[in-house]
Amino acid sequence: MKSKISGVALTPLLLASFLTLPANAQDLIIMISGGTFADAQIEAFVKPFEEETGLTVRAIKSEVPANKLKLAVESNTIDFDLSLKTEADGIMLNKLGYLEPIDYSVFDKAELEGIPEGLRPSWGVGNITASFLLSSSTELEKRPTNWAEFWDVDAFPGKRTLQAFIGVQGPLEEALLADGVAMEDLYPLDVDRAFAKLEEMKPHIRKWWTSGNDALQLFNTGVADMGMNFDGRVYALQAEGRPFDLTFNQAKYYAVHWTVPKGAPHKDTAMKFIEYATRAKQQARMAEISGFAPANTAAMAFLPEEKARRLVTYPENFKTAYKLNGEWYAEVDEEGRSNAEKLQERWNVWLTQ
Amino acid sequence: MNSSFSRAANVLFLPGVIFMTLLFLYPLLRMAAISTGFPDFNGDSYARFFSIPSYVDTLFRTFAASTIVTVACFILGYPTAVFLSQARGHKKSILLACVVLPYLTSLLVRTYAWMVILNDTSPLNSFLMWTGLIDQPLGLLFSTTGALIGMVHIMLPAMILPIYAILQGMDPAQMRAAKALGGGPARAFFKVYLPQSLPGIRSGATLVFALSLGFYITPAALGSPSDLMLSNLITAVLNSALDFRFASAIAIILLACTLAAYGLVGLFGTRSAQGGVLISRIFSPLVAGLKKLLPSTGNGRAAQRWTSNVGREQVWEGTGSRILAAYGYLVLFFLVLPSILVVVMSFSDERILNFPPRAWSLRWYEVLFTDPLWAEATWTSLRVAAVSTVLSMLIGGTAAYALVRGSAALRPGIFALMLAPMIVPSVVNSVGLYSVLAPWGLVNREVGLILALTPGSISYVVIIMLATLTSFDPRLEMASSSLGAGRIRTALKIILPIIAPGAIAAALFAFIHAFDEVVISSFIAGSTMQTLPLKIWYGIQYELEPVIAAVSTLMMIFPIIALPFLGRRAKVLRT
Repeated sequence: MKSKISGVALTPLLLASFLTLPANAQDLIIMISGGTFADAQIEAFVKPFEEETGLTVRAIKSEVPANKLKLAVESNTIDFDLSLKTEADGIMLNKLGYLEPIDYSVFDKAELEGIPEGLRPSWGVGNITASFLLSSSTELEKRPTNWAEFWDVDAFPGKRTLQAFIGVQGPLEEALLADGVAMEDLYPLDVDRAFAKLEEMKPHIRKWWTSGNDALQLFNTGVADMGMNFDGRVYALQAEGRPFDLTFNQAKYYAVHWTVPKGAPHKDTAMKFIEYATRAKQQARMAEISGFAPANTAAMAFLPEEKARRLVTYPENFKTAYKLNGEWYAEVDEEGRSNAEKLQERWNVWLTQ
Repeated sequence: MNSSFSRAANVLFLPGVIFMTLLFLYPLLRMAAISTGFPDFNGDSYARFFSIPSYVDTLFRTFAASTIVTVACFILGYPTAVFLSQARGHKKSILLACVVLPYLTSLLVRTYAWMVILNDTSPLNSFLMWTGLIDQPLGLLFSTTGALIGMVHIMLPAMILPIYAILQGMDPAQMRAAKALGGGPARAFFKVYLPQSLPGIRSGATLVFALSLGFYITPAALGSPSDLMLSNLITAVLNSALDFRFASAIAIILLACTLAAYGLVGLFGTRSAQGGVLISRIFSPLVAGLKKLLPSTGNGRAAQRWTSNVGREQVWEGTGSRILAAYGYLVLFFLVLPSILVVVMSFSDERILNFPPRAWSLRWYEVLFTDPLWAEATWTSLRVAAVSTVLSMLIGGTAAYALVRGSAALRPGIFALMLAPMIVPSVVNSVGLYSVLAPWGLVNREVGLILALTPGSISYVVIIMLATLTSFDPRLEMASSSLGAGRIRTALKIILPIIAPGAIAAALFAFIHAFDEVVISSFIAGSTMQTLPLKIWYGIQYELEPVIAAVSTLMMIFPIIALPFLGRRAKVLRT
């Protein structure tokens, strides 16, 4: 039995927290997703940025789905300056004209060179490279090493989870890989084949996770022994002493971009923040805490070897991974509907069948 | 009552009517228009719904789940209500509190509690594995069974309270007479007791069934991915495809089903199916049941009723009553268990839920009080709920007064309008409100959220204030004015003190509604403005951390503190 703070100490804490609340005194409002990933960003970006600039940042641990962002821009009620978007979402929102162009003039030349060109389009700058990969409990007798083995429920017993289809991400590539498609032949996705393969897995999935924290909790609470997870979340599980490990074999990686919505209240500060958050040093700090790979390749120099080894962009890991094709998801047919939208509808119907 | 009095009172209908029309009727109409492709009119989106088998399955599943929940609530609730009506004295108030406190506890808190209990590593599973009854955890969380358990738990008070209210008003002498006349206990029960309790059963069953049709949060959090309910489907369509037209069509289908459920009871129960009368028939037993717990409201008469119950006769004796008591205690235990577990979990020192926690600390309370985001969410909720309470007291209070004093011809229609938000599933309201508030630029704004939450609060105010005002003798008011007091003086010196206990109860319910609402808020509040329940809701979805247990514990304390305060305050005002 231990008690960190006494009940007596709580009362002034409570009062203080209620009295010292600054009402709307923020210089910047950013959406930083949730859970351990958000915590890492606060540590690596937000706190040092506040210290260096003296500005106040309101970091909200939540996400704004692309559709909500669209509605907010349309109704002119954008009340945040920065949010994280995948490549596919970024391309789609940019096509609609819902994103502010990035002001690359505030960036340091040398820093900018560290960010691969593909990670600094006009509409957003890469923050991290995350990957979906196969994670499993080290307590299992037999652990799957690729998606085909994961699909083999008899040879590899255990409770399974996969990601639900959310906008531009889902377990379609994994299903195709399990069905024998090679990594380099995945795109354009054979959607019918993917759904047919998913049908096999459906009865074995108790919960399709929808967010990184959701996934983390499923493994954490014993609902799942194996399945899709983010690299960073697996490391978060390990940090909590949970028996999970990952393989970069057939890992699907993609970049998360900082984007500024049209009509953001503090646009210029937002640009400054992005510039700060993509500096090699800050990126290294982020990678160290979160286990997600930095978008700025120069960050690798600031990382100890054993930390770098854990990242998807580490050469050895990178060889067996493939890139999620965001452009394919954002591709629009003659009716103006993107592949992502069509897939989402098909998924909703399929799931309730 | 003279007619100038009544004409003057008719003016008081206006604020309520205008407000409800703008923020309840108009959004629904607009949603209906959008669903038909306004300005064109066609049924394409409806045809699409019925052409996709899995969507039609969802409709049937929604009905099936609501039926199961209703039947289960009846089986658990009826004997419990009988048991409660037999209890006496202090024991009775404690037992009643076990029903009412869960009812007043945040829906999210109760849902979170079930996530904790049904977990694979939960106390329930550890206990069963320890006893050797099972060797694998029961996969209850994210399963249909899990969702049903949570839904039954949440709906149970809405079944027990109306039945209890009716049983409480029954004359026990009738049962005695039936038995004395040789009917035997079973016959006496089926011929005398059960028929008399039917209004309570009807009210409870309708409430539970109709509210279950619109269930959203609980199945989403506890259910399996394939047992989506209609309301979850609406959100899925809106969030993923942004198909406002299709979402509106599904919302209209859900609304039609709900109204049909109410209508069915109207047909069976009465000759006239007037909306307002129907709603009051369904809701007033619930309010009556709730008021039993608030002995000092209702002009102090309830308090007397309580003491008069002390000498009340037992309808059941011997073994039967012992079985009944055992059953009643079990059901009440089921009702309060989740809250107890949440309180215990909140003192855990672990990030992972274990029961009992392996180490204890106040760290989650520390997080709660030091994290500015939690404080900010709390402040936002308090502000929104406070303003909404004031607004709904002004608008709803005037409307209730007008309903008592105003023209009888206008009464049923306006009554129905004021209470309608209560019977429409909140996800339906949300879609409509969004379509209206977004073009006005009120989404993502505190003002917008307040406006969106106030119609629901007004309904609570109207129903409680009406109960208070009807028990108020208008002659007192006339006496006051005939003795030379002006309108304002009469209002301050005569009306206000008498209605104060009811008004406090009304304000409490309005506040709890606005403070706890999460479905409408999740549509209207937007991304950066987070109320406390919204923050909990995102937290439940993303992190099952004990910090949510801590905030839930604090939210449970709120009704516990509020209730006795209500009683004391009312007494002070009376003397």
